[in-house]
Amino acid sequence: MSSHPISFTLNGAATALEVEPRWTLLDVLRRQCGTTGVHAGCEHGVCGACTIIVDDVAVRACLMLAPQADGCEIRTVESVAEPDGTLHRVQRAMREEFSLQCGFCTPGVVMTLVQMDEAGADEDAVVEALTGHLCRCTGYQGMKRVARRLGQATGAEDRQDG
Amino acid sequence: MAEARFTAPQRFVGEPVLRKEDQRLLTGQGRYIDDLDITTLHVAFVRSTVAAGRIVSIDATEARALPGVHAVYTAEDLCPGDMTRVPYSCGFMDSLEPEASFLAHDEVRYVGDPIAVVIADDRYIAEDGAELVEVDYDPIDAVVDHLEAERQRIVHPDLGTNVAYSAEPADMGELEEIFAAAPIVVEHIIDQQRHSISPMETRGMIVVPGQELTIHASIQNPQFLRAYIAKVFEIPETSIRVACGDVGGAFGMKFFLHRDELAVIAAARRFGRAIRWIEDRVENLSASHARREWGRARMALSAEGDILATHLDYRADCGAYPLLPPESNAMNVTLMFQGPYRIARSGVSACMTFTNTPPLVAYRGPWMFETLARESLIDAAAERLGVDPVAFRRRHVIGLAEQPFSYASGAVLTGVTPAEALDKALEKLGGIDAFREMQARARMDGRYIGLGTSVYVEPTSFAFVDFATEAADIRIDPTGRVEVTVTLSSQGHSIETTMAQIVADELGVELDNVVIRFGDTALIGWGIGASGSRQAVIGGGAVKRAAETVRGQVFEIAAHLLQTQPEMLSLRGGMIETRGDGGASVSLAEVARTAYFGTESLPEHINPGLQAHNRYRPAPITFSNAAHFCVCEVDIDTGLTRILRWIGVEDCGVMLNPAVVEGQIAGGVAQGISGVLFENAVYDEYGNPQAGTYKDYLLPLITDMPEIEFGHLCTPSDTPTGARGVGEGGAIVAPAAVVNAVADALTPFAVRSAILPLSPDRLLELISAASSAGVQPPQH
Repeated sequence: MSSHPISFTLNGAATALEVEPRWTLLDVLRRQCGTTGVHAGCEHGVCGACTIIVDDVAVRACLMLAPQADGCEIRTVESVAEPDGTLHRVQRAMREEFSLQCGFCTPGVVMTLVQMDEAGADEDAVVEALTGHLCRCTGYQGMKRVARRLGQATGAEDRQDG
Repeated sequence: MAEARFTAPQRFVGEPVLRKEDQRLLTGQGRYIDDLDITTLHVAFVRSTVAAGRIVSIDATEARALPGVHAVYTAEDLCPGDMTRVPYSCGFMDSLEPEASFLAHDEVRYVGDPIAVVIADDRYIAEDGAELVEVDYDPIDAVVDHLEAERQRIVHPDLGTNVAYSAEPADMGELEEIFAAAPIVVEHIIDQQRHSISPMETRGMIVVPGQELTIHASIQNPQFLRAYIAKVFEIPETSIRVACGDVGGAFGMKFFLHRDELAVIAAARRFGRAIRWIEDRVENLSASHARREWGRARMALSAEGDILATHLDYRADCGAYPLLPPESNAMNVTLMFQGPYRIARSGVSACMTFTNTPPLVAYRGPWMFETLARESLIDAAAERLGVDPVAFRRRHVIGLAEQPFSYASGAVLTGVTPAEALDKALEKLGGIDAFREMQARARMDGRYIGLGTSVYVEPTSFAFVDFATEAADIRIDPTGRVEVTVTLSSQGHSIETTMAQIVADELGVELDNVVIRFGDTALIGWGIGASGSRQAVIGGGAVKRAAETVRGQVFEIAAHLLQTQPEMLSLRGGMIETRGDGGASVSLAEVARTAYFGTESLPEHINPGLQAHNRYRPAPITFSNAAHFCVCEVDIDTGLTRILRWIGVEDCGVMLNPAVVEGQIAGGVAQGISGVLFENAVYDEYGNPQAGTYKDYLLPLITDMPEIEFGHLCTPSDTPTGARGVGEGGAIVAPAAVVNAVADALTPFAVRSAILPLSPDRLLELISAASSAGVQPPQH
């Protein structure tokens, strides 16, 4: 297999590496970059566990080939909390609303919520976005409450206190 | 009440305290199997592409020559000399077991049957290698329809039968006499489709061979599986370490090791280096199945509507190599079919058959067919009698005051509250009359809304033979922090939180000062782990008792330091105080320091250290129960069913953490709803899987789920924590509620069907058939 040099910004850090053209961005993030918070749930673009933010858009890392990420700015779940571990408001909301159990789908959900939060989405838009995530544990009860909470916080004080 | 059971003040038990697990899981710091930073080569499987066929030849020449491929192993390589020695169903019951090997060696028996292991530098190359392995099959007729299996080609010639297990009630003759003489007999057919368990994390395993065989895996039960691995490979348990980190859901699928996982272990031992196998989703969706079951349920009634007898003819598909022992499931269906009702006679005839489909495995409430069959039969019977199904249930349902209550089968129910739960659910619904009025108004508007009821009793926390016990080790370290090791395991069960709640209350410390460890045979001995809704009850019991012992040790040393008697002391907020005004006190940290570093000052009769072990065995079964209502609307133009309301009232005894309890129920309810409406692991007539991806195998989305309205009854169990199992209940009770709600919604069309799934196309078909048969909804 031929290998190609690519570079991207990963969680704020310049990253350069050699990849084979058929490697998915998901595998490269997990195996080459150590960002194992990006989870492989289905590898065919349905479950959403591998959701990351590429150039400010939430995407499935399993549906991108690594060379397609050349020159992009990538954010994964590892970048969301403060370095001291202080949770982002969407992570805090998820915890306080008991919206995770096994936690495997969670990093992808966090990234979608971060993007929706940054976009100032209302409850309906957040719920719509969360239809892109499969969770087998919770019956989505906590996620529904998180969507309501984030939607209600749109433009309100909760958005600034994070 | 429940609280009185705790000798220590209750600060945490019973409160919805936030989960200790969440910090790492929300920040990407979870450590699931494929996150472990262990240098390995990578495995991909060659799997059968036909459901049944003799293997003529396997040619791995090209694959072995591919750069980056290190080895290709077939059955001959991994099981030299003895192809048939795998006790594949974990051997804990006397199953009728066909000969089996890790890999198919003479015959493949389902699509996906593992044939060869390819070990390569990375997964991409391993899959390239797997594609280059040429397998020549001589196809044979596949046995796919389990209802026909008895009359078809034998799947396992060595057994001479396709019947893995069958049983009849001892009093079948008398039962039939009751049915023959009964003025009213209602019959109801239930046909449940195949489900894929589908945890969000697939299976996976890292095997590091060596003097100690180390196995990291995505599993539910390290201790139990270590014993199984020792048995399969004929090596001492003490030379094996099995560990799991975070596990991304399991639901029963990861309770047993599938044959491919044994092949990974065998391959690593043969290869001599560490290897990693991470199942992909396509493999996972057809690795094993559950719920492919059929039943003919009958109820004999008197003219006055008394239930004289019920009987279920139960048939289930075990696949080619059932991992869930067929008889265990048949026995549980038989045990619970009577449900929470006064029924004079009840029996189940069971027949479990082998087919050329993937293995039957455990799936959240594996015996749930008893509730699905009974509760949908009850609605059919109520319809025949012309009475409301809720009223019919209230007439026959058992309440707390009638217990202990002896089942027709001989089992004895104690401490369950089905009647009380049904009444409380009814209260939350707002009463039947109000619902019926709303339903009638909606029908006038062309909307078809239905109410479905499901009431059940669940035998949780099985505690006998190898399942009898769980254990806990608790130690307070010299700084006063508490470390707890348990035989439990977590795939989202929140035990790091709930077990810490028990300990923190008992030892009067903050939750942050308690750490719960589990999931590694190097930590603690025998246990079953996550299975059968047992962890809070049996594990929680061991934790509570061990904590009580350590608490006693703390009081002994504190009494010495404070020059008083242990019984004069109380413990809270990290301080041990003498009772009464202005009493002296000493900190837990000081007591702990003394226990380890000041032992010279202790009198002879006080043992140094603060540490206790407890292995707890409760009664053989701890029952829990629930009553659920589903309100749904069926769109008769699209066939789509939407859940409008869901009410669930359960009794799981003392709730260690109500938010965790509700989370468990909600997850089960979601699986139950989607089991009726969406999921369908279809196989064609040749045994080919037709739902190979999440595009075809439908799981529920956030918009498919209602917000559940919960009600809790908390009748303490006779165990140290007072808890009852709650992990599986939602998945057991929910499907019948959906089935009954859809039938109720479609009453104007006289559509009552438990042939699942009730997918849009099927409902349209039923509505259309009813319409063409002359059944018309009211005009509007």
